[in-house]
Amino acid sequence: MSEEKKVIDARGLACPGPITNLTKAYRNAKNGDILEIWATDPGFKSDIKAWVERTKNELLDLKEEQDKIVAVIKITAKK
Amino acid sequence: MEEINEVELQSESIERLLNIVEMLNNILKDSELIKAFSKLVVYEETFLLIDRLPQIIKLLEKISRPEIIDKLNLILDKLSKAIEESEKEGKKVYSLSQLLEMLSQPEVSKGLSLFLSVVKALGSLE
Amino acid sequence: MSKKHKFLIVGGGAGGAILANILVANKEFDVTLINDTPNHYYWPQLLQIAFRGDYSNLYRPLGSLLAKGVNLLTDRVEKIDLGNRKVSLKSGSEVDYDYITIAPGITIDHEGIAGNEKLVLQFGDFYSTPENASKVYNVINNMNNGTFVISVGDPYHRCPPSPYEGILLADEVFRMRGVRENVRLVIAVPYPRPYPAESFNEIIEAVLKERGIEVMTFFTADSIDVEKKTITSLEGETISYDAAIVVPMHKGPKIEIKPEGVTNEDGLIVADKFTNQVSGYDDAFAIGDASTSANAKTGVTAHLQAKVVARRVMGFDAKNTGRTNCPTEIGFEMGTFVISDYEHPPAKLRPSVFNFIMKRLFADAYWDIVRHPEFWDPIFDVYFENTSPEILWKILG
Repeated sequence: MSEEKKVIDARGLACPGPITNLTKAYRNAKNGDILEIWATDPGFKSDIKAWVERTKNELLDLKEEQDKIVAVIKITAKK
Repeated sequence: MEEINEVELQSESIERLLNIVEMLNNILKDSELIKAFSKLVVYEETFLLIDRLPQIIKLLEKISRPEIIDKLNLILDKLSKAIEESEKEGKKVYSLSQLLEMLSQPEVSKGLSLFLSVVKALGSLE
Repeated sequence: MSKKHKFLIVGGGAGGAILANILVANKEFDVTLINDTPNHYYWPQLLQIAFRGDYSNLYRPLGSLLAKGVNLLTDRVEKIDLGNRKVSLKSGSEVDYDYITIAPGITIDHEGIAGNEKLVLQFGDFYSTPENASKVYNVINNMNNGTFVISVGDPYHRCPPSPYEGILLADEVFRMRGVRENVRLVIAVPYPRPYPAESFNEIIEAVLKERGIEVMTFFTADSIDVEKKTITSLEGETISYDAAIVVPMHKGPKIEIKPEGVTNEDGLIVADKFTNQVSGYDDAFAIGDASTSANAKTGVTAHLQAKVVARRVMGFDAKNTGRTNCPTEIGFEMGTFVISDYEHPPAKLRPSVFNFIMKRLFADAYWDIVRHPEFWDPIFDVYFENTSPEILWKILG
């Protein structure tokens, strides 16, 4: 099973917002895939935590870099 | 250089005019828009207001006379300054002797007599 | 006389038609526009058909919306060869160009979500065809009880406010019919809250609550069982319905574009978010729903992108600001707008009758706006400047 790492660049998007990009990518993702999302929307930090908790996927890393927020998640919960 | 064709210009203008009429027609046929517009503008009060327009205008005329406006501005300024100052001073409890001392100040006694004539005028209302 | 540049526009929707009308005024360009049908559709009308049975303003002949001098070809574009600057049409002919703007819009793919093609036959939707929209109208006007669901399948759908407009207008119809008490209304969205953008959510969540509409969050419609009447989400949950509309998958145009890699996995054309330029080609642009440079799939976005492309090819360094101006109806002659740009989240514009009137005026003037950008764009420039998200945030907080 090949694992894919995908970077989603959602910087500078406020509406609909980065969580939309994530949801879109989630449809095609498979268990084992790694999704890295870049965002500048400050609300994204709490959104990604809530999403990971609710969908039962794994949040590998969540950090604030100088110009963006980076979240790395591992897909584990897809049926 | 291209020649300016007057006939062409005229027909373009007429076409533009027709486009505008069509758009206005679209707007006037829009029942949702008409509903919304009447919701915004048509209240019982709107009609009453329109009825009373002459009286309202007369009243506005009185209020907007230069002397009245000047006086109102002056009163507003003085009042806001006074409120500011008293807020700076904070809560103060006056003793009887302090009150009496204040009465001897010319502005206070002038203000008090003005206040009393207002009270008298109000009291003379039937 | 110097040779004119051949400017080719693929698609005669809001983006393509307005671009054609702006460019044709400039004597440097010889403008050709290719559209697959003779008509230009005002897609927001689908919402009016679905909930008000109002078909007026749906479409007009594209020819009547194009300025004199635009060459209109009614044909289907099958292949675009960016390297050789050539476009192949269904009729067999080929058109070459000096500049191209690709604006064919998206294709609705009901089969992208299992069971959706069956669901839409029963209940319709307001994202595809007028026929499907009229199905919704029938459902709403004949349903007297049960659960009515609007569920978002593709979060990158046309018109971000539309699912909310849908459920709120449904609420209005049920109330006017006197059956609202017996109908349970549900909107299911993939996001952590009703509306994805937090600031605008404050507005919309309050309205949904006031109207008694249930919201299911973290729900991305993934499959529909029309026998059991259930919708199952990617996140593993299920809802039951008596009538339901699923916001379908939006895919790119069915055009073969060479070289490969110009389109992404959804078939959208990858274009620069500020310049609309297709990466690697300074003579090719992509605007509107089919391009990745549109942060929102709306007519306003396509219109503003058309302006940017026109200015750029005339030598100005114009850039997309990401400005959105999405009219949002909430029923009962009230509305608001989602106003945002790349630098600012949506302003908290409260619903009012005035906003609804503005929406209707835009809609009624739409054909004139497409046909005469030279008249309307200066007006819109003033409007956009004075209602910039920056200003609105200062006023509204």
